[in-house]
Amino acid sequence: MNTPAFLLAAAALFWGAQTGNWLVAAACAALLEAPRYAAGRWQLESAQFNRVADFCTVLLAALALYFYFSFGNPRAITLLFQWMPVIVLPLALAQAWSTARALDLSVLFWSLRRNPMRRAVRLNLGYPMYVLWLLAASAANRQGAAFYAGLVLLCAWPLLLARPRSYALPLTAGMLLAAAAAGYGGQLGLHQLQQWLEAAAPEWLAGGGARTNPYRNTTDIGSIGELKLSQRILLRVVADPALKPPILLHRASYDDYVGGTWVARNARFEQLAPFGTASVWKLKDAPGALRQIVVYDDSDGNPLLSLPLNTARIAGLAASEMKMNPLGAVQVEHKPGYFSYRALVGKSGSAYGPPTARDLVVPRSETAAVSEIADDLGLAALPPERALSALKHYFAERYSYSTWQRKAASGRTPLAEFLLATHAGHCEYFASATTLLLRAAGIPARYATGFSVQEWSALDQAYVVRERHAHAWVRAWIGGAWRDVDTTPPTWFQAEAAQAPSWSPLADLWSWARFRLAAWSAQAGERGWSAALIWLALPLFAWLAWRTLSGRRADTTAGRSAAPSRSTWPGEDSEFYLIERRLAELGHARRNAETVTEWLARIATHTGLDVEDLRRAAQLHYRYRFDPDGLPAAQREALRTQALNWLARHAATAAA
Amino acid sequence: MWRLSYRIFRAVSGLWYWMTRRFTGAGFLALGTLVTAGALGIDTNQTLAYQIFTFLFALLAAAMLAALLLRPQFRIVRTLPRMITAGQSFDYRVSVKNLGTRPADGLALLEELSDPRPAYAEFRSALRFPSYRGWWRLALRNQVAHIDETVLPLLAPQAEAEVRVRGLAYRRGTLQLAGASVARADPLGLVRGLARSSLPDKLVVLPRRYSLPRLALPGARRYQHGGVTLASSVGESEEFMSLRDYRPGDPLQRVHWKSYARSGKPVVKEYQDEFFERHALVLDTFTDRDSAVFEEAVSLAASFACALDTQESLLDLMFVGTQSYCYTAGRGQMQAESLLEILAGVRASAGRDFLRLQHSVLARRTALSACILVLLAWDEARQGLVRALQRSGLPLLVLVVSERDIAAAPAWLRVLRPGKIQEGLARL
Repeated sequence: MNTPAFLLAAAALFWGAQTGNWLVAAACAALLEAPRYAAGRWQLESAQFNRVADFCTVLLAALALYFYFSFGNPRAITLLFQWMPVIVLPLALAQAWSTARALDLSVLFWSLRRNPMRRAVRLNLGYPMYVLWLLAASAANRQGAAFYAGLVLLCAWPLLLARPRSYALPLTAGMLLAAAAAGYGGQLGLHQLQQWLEAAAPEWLAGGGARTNPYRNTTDIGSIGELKLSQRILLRVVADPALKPPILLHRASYDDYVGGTWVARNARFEQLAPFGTASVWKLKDAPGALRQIVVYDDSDGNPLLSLPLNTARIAGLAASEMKMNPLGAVQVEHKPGYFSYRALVGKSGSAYGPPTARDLVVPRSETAAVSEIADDLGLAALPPERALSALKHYFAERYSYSTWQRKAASGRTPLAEFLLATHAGHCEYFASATTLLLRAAGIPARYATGFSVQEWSALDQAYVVRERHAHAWVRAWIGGAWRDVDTTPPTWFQAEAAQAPSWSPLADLWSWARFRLAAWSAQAGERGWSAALIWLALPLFAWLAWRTLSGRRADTTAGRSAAPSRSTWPGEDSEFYLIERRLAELGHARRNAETVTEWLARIATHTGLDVEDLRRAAQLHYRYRFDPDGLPAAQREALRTQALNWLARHAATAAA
Repeated sequence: MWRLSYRIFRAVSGLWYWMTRRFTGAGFLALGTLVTAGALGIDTNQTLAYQIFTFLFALLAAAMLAALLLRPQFRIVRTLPRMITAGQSFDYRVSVKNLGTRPADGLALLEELSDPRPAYAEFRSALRFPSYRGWWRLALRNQVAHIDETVLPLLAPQAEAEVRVRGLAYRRGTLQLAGASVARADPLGLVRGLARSSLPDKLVVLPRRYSLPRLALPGARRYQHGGVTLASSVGESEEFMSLRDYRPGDPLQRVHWKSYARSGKPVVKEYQDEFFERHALVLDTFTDRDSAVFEEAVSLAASFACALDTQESLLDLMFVGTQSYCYTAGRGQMQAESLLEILAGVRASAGRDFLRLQHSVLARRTALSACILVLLAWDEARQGLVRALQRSGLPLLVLVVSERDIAAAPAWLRVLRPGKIQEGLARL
């Protein structure tokens, strides 16, 4: 390896610190640095390197498939990057422990094995490995300044060692510091830019129904044009036959409406204690029989559970912790990728708090339109049940579903335009309007988001929930309990389904295959098969090592003794060689086939340096080197003192 | 689509060339990592790769700025050989002087060769489908030679260093050197600042040559019109033999005035007539494009041009380019190397009539002792030429370079395969 000593080890340990895989990192570091101290090497030909590279490729492909099926994208990509240096390690070790100084590029590229380049390009894997460790460490995504600090130190190390020496050290160090500071500011800015973009972009763009933010929900109310949602299957639901579709699976509720965005105020998450065994969590007491819904969740990076109303318990979920907020959102921490759980549903009675004063507030901007409708319907005078049915009737009779919106008339909010003019919109309009109208009628209400479960899949033998099944409705407090109220015309489901592209059955098939494999792999993990697979892979690895290395041990000790020992010649220890080296360091190297006298003359003409004493020393040096009688002791001493004096004088010049 | 892909390929290969000159190895690694980290860190919530991206971006920006500001000053002097040979490595000396006031290291010498990127017409005609691979192949084909980057030692102010620059000639032709640059790495060692000197120069790359077996070309000496004038000297210094009486028609310059004055009747000087062997080396250039077959034919002609003894005989090199050419070497005419230089520049002449070559050869028929024909095919036109020469009784050596077997080839016809020319020549 061409890296400075211990740079690779440091990079590997840095990776270990970031990913938490200390043992693996320490083993890799030791294996990569040990060749500096061990004499033994293997004599590997390009065929053996090709075999090791092919093994790494197969390993890469196998792991890529495993990660993809277990965790899905983009998690699979980051995981693959995180393990990349370990995947490539066999090849790096093959180079480090072999007599080859670098690998031909064809080892890495199949196409070059068939069509070699005009001039062979050789690559030492030292620095590429070092870069891979850094990239892999970044994929661990451990937030905090430690990563950046480590990165700067690990980059500064080789840069300072290999810097051109003609520049002053403070210049290089200053540039490094400036770049580190600028880079730090840049990364903060970049991260904030993404946060801002995510907040400003419509929900469906920033991850859509797959990821739900429990604190705020930016609706598409006020967006002009066609609303498009994806076909991707996020959940598979197996429900108790007693539960009839459509089933509403709730993810988060919000209590404050601010210009097109629903916000959850004071929605602090509180820790829930596991109930009995670690995989069961209790949300509330539920007397009587419980009905079961099994949810298989495939929405990446989403911490919120999709639960039906009146969920009493959650079982079968291997989560490290579970939290719930006063608005009924349940958040868990679990391993990334696919997971499943059973929601046990009770009869009635909420698991979370009663309404607050905020659940009755109608924002000032919407008051005019909302009170106009509420007054028309006489909602304030009706008892809650009657008011609710009047509202349902009103929306069913007069409103229609549409994913298309035109521009609102000036001076009106988009919601007022919906209520007073267009009478057409998507679920977010219906849910928001109903929430505010119920509030105007004195009924506490919240805006709820989640999914509507209606589509039965024969292939999965379960209900499938797609991204476009993301839905919004109202949670109203009636009769001392929360109740789901959905005023969106039921035709919305068919209208959305009609937009499905023709290739969606194929995509569904692919999703089904992925789901089956992921379920199988999760099962295998539970039963300890994954560990067994690793134990099976180890003999395979050993076999490859044996095939590659057997009989190829390079006889380095024999090579060393067989190498012709450097012959000695008279005058070899002349101090004049030190002068020659010093002059070369100062930029006046002697050319090939240039005699010492010519060389000194050239230096004198070019630099104006006084070379008279050097000439005298050179004469003595020549006699010492070539005079058959050798140099008398006194003159030998004179050569030494002259040379050392000159060196002492010119060391000072060089430093100055 | 062709025009667009041509522009894109041109821009991409131009960018790549720029990068190879501007970035050091460490800089390339940093740039590659920057791109990878940019792709991996696109979502700042998923990985921290965006931190690597911003840091490397700042590093490279600082390095670029420093390379721009700390541009070095150097004087470069090149000492080129007269000619080099295709397929062989070569080297030459370059001396570099630091004109700055500070010592400089991290230096490399970069030669600037002529742009090998194909022109649009060539790109359009040579490829069936616009692919980058095809583009690359064309650019490689146009590349005459490669010259390595040469590392320079540390140079004190006003100090001069001499280095040996190594290269490899890929094909015959003229290697155009536009300039040379001294690249100096920035304080971080990532990006290089270039001090360019315009040093236009040319280097002739001779065709590669094969060793020929001992050739005893048949044929007799022939009277060479002009005698030794043709062979050993220029102007009027001719080989004097005797004086004789004037015969009507003798040129006035040949009158020997002193004898005329002494004898009272016109006397003229007579010169010796010369008899030499004179061989013709005929190269067939009638092919559509510069193919491997054509290159082998040129190499073959070059091998003959070197191997034939031009001390005692003359050699006419004949081929058709934009017109019919005939160059003569030997006996005080051109040197064999000059013929090689001519062969270095021979191009295939597409779309011309083979008869032009036939006329040109037959016109010189009477002066020739023997003829070597290097042909690219064995078709009716070429057979016609051979028959015409055979009818005139001229001894012939006919070589055909062909990738395929020639059906019903006469026994005297030598068929050589590209890539196996040396083996074929050994059987001559």
